[in-house]
Amino acid sequence: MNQASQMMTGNLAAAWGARLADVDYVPAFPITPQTEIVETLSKWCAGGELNARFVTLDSEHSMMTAAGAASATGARVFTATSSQGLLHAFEVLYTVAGWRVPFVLVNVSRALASPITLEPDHNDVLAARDSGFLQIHAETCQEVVDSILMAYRIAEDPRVCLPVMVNLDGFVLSFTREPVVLPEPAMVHEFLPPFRPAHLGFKASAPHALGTAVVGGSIYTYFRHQIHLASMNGLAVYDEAAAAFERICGRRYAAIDGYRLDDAEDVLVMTNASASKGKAAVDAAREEGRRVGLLRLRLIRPWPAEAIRDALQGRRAVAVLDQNLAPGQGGILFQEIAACLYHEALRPRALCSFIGGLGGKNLSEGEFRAIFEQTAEAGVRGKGIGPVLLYTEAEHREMQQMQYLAHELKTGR
Amino acid sequence: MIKKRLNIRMSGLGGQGAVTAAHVMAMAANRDGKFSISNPFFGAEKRMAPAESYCRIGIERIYDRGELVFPDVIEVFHPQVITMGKSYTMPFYSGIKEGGVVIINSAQPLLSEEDIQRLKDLNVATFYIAGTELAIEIAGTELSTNMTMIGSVAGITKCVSMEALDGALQERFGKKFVASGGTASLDEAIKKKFAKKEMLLQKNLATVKRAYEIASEWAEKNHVELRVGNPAVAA
Repeated sequence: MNQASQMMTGNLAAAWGARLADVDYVPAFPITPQTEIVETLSKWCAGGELNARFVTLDSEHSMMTAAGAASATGARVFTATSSQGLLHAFEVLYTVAGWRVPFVLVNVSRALASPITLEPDHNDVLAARDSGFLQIHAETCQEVVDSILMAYRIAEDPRVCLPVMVNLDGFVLSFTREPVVLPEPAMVHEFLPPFRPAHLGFKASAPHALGTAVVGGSIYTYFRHQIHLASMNGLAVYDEAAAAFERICGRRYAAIDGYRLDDAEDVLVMTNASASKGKAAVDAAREEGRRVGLLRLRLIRPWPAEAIRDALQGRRAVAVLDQNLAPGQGGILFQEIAACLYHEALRPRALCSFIGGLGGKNLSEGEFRAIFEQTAEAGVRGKGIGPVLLYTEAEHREMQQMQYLAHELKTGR
Repeated sequence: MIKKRLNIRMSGLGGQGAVTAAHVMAMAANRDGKFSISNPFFGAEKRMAPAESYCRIGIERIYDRGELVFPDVIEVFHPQVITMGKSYTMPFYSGIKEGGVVIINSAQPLLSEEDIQRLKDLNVATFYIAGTELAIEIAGTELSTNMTMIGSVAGITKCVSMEALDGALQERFGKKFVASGGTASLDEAIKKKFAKKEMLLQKNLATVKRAYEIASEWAEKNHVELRVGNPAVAA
């Protein structure tokens, strides 16, 4: 909302992140709602605005392999996918993390089939939580471009050397135009110096191997545990990168983002773009006299357990709104929040699990009100609830109508 | 009525430029120093399938995102949104706020008695504009229909200035001519292309302006006042 800002979509902001990071290689495969990212990058590569090699691959599986292999030569690599595409590349995600190659992958969240849809929830990105990729989840278009720059710095840090995934919600962010201030190239250069890896440098003239076969488990364990340790190093490296980014670009992104937490009795935990709506709901609830706040998780891998504990200890009740569903279990992030609070002496009296916003379903003001009401009651009772599915009566009626129509068509009655 | 925020829902069909219209409105609002956010909603990207877009413009930071359930203004880009129910919400005006405005691109009235009564109960004003005809007349193409929709909402609500709309259209469609560095004939071809684009841009702007005038006049005559601003200051 000033002269320096431009109205841009989350997808365009993601492309700008790659452009400002001056990437060398972009392996691509389009998928809704990510397509605008690779479309823009292909245009820039053709027009000379970005001095990078743009290559279309025959699938996300080969795209992710190419990304890892190119990164192993010492090139700075950017790629992007979404939903089914991410799942198609799944085998390679684990493999390239084991190669310890520091490229950046943008995932534009879209719910998974079946039934098939285009709109967002987080079952795609959270399925990759154990792959070894670090994960940063963005709330705004501004955060998308800034997070990509931070992601390169963290990934390329010798203490980490792991690929990083930056997540943005399809539609709600990918196609949403809002003001973005692009960092000046000089600022980016200071924050993110050119990539000069000491340990990577695959050359055709000097062949060697990465990730070769091992047996017996002891070597395997050593290397897999190295990935874990490197990821945990990511916590401190993230904080350093956030501090440097604030110093140079003036915007601060902590691993977790607290909204009106100071005197909050009850706290709602969310991630990604819908957290904006959660913040508006917190404002509305405060006007009704409820002392509530919101905690948004930005860094999902590594898991910032200590920061989360600090933010949630001593609260009356905590509600986790998962925009994902683990069938047979419930909400994915709820489990992780619960686990990291278990040993906390001042842990909240109640933990509540809500599932909502699946497949892009709108999160209404009424649903947020219900969350705050039920969480307050749980806090008073000292016993949590859930998983509670957010599904309004009107939505239920709509579904019943559909079933009625389907029945009529099938039976002719 | 003066409101801190104006919510605009644009219901159109794929290919009509409803998504672009919302983006141009949001860009213009940003140029005017207001807060704004726009986003589309559609299924498969298919011509003539329902496509909806939203634009929120306000004087404070906007935390709301995604589907716009309670609009102040609804713009109907195509009669089929109403006559064939090509809309994500049924009826097309569901959720409209009291004192809101419905803008319909049609040369003829389309609403049923029941619709008219329900909108009247909510004190919602209805503005018809023959947008497609106007686009053909001024820009020479029905593709400029969305420009009449931009002009209409801006003319009635004054939520963005004409100056900002001009700038936003330049930003969205305008490109400066850059010599290709190739042959002279290639440069000539590119120049021609840009000249054509520049002409289209001017025609689009003229279409926006004409719709803006028609809508302003209508709002004045019918005492329809819906503005973005600080209600406290206004009072």
